[in-house]
Amino acid sequence: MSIDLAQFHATFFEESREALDTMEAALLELDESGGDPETINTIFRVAHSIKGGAGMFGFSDIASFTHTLETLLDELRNSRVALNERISNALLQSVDVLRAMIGTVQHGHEADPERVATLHAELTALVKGAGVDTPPPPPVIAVEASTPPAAAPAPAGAAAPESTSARNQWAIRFRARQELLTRGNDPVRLFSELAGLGPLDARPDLSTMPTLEALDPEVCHIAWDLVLTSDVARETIDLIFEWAEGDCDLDVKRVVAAPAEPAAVTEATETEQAAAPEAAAPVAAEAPSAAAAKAEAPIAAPAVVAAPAAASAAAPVVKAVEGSGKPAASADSTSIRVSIEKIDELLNMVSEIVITQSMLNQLATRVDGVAGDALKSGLAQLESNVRELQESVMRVRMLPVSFVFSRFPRLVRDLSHRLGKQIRLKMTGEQTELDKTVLEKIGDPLVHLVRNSIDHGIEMPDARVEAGKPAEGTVHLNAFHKGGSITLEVSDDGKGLDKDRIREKAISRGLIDARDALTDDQINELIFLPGFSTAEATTDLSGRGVGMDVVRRNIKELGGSIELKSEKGKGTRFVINLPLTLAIVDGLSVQVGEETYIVPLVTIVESLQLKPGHSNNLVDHGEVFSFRGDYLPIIRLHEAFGVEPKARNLHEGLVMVVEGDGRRAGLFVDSLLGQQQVVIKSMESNYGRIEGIGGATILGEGAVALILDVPGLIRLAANSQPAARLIA
Amino acid sequence: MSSLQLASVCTLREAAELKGQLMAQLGQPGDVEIDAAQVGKVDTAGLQLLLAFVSQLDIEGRNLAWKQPNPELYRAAGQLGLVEALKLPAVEA
Repeated sequence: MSIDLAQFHATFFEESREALDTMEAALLELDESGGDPETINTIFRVAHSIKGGAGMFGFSDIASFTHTLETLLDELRNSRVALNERISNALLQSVDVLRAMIGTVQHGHEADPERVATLHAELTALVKGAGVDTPPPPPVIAVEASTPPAAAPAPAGAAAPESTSARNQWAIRFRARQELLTRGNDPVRLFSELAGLGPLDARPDLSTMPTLEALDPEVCHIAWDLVLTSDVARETIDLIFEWAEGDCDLDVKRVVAAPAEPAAVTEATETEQAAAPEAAAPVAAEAPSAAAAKAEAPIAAPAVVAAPAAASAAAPVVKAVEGSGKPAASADSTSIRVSIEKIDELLNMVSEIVITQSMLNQLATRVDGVAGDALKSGLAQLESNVRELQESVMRVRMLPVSFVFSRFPRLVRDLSHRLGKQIRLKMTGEQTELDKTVLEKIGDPLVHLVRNSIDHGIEMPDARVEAGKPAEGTVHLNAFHKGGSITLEVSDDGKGLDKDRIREKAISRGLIDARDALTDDQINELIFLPGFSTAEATTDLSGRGVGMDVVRRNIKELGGSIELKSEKGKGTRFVINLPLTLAIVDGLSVQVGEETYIVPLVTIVESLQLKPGHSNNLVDHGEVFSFRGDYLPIIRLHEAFGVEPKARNLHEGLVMVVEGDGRRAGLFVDSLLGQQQVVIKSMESNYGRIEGIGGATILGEGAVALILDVPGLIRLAANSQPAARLIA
Repeated sequence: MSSLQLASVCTLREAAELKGQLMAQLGQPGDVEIDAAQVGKVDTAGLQLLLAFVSQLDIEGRNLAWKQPNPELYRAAGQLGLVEALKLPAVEA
């Protein structure tokens, strides 16, 4: 049976990408903190785990690149080199290059080899600048260190001087579990990496080796007692076995410590002795001599037996220490990785249950008597349970907004450097949760808004000072829940929109008439029109014609809306409202003739019955009615959808005041049926996109009802009455 | 003496095949020579099978000779501390 490592590639790619996100965030944090050791450690760990995975799967380019990166990080970690802007830039670019390299092996996309080579050279130069040569990758060191005939104990690599002077020894008991080999963890590779830290003596325990005939070739039947002579921290050793976690039993103990750290030695020795007073001592005493004797004599049988006993006796103590020192390891085991398709299948099934349950409710109304009451009571219980189930599944799809926000520190840093602006990014409400699909789709519009703020909003430092503002501008990203939706805000304290210029431009493009009197809000709205851009010069940041109209359209497709507030000299604020999920909507069902339509609750302002004579037909503006000082257009749903209504006179039916994209209108319907939560079935995937219809749903009695896309309907109505466009 | 030629790659992927080859070799009487000149890549799974084979020969009192063991074989065996258990000659590098 052969093992195809390719099946683990997807996990490696996914985990590497996540790791790179972590690394990028940590690098930006490092920029601010000026080299916090814990942050450097985090970055080092990320680089190390990518290197380990890449090495295991044979992606040698990635392994080699991360090896150099890791060396530089190690220099930083050990304070042999100080963080500066050149290093900081090189590290950030490494994240980009690694992303591209992973893309190359995953999808066969061509990464820019020149960029990889240039950056690799830069990293090497930075390492050399720090006075260290990059040690060759560990396997090379291992060849020389462990080949018995070579006998010379000192490897040729840079690790050697450090190792030979090391006085610390680590006793490592390594026992493979069933899956170790098949999960791609080869002890040869693991021990090679260990040998890169210092001289390594490996003593195999063959006591559980079966005969050749009985041997399962995919299971490692050998255990090892390793003695590593190195001053490295325990953490460094753990990192090497990181990928094998869960696939092996590992006990790591420090057996001989440097006199320079008397306190630590005493503590370690005491702990071990307390647990295994007899067993721990022989290992400490034996280890150095065994290491020295290794090349000359066969391994003495008693040593093989004694060592496991010592290791297992001391195991509980070592484990307890691990438990307190590595909370992350236990946190890992509390989560699992599930593909989004599986969750969507689950959600779809729950949706079907909601529909079935709704049908049963309808049927139950026809059952009378005691049985009917019992049935209704049972169904009420079912409804409550189904709702909870639905909410639980929905929650699984929710991710914190930080998932999207995390890309902005880098963006702001890079752009502000390039433009010579001083910009501080403030982020709040990152833990607010939103559906994963919505989050993924909101990323690009947000990037556009933030780029706009940086490019057009925030002024150059001297201009800001002149205007009496601090030289450093602020871009603020904020997220919070508001009722059943979520609000995202992008605001800046820049120069604000130039309303005169917008107006001029709109007139020159024929979008408005010079005589039109527009309010400030109406002028702001103009920037959302297709092709509208006031950028003086087209830069690669913004002003490419794909502008705010695309942003608004994308947000609308998510069932959301965007508004803007701007004050000259003070700044601009974009407010995006999004539904928490795309799968379910709270709606009001309305009747028009024989048809039922669902109006999303968030769009409804109020419902009213017009008295005769309360509506007017205005020339060019169509049918309107007065609502709190405004004249709103009336959209007769039966006309919009071509159905035969029960009520044709406005006073016979109901008018619902609805709002979408900041515009209001009155929807004329026959009657209201009631409020309900409906599961959205996409029209686009089953039929095609229809302006004015957001989707469909199946009602309790099994009939299909269309869900209205209120902004789309208002837009349709406005287009059929062009001049009314700016009135609403 | 019968001779056993090892493939250039002796890893987990080829383990089942290698085991078959070794079992077949055990079935033949007499001493064994292992030709390891071609071995360019070997991992724990491959070494473990060779070790089981060598141990079995030992139990059966049969002699083993390595022919031109490749440095890669030394490197991997050395890493696992198996050079002696595999009876690899201690001269070549």
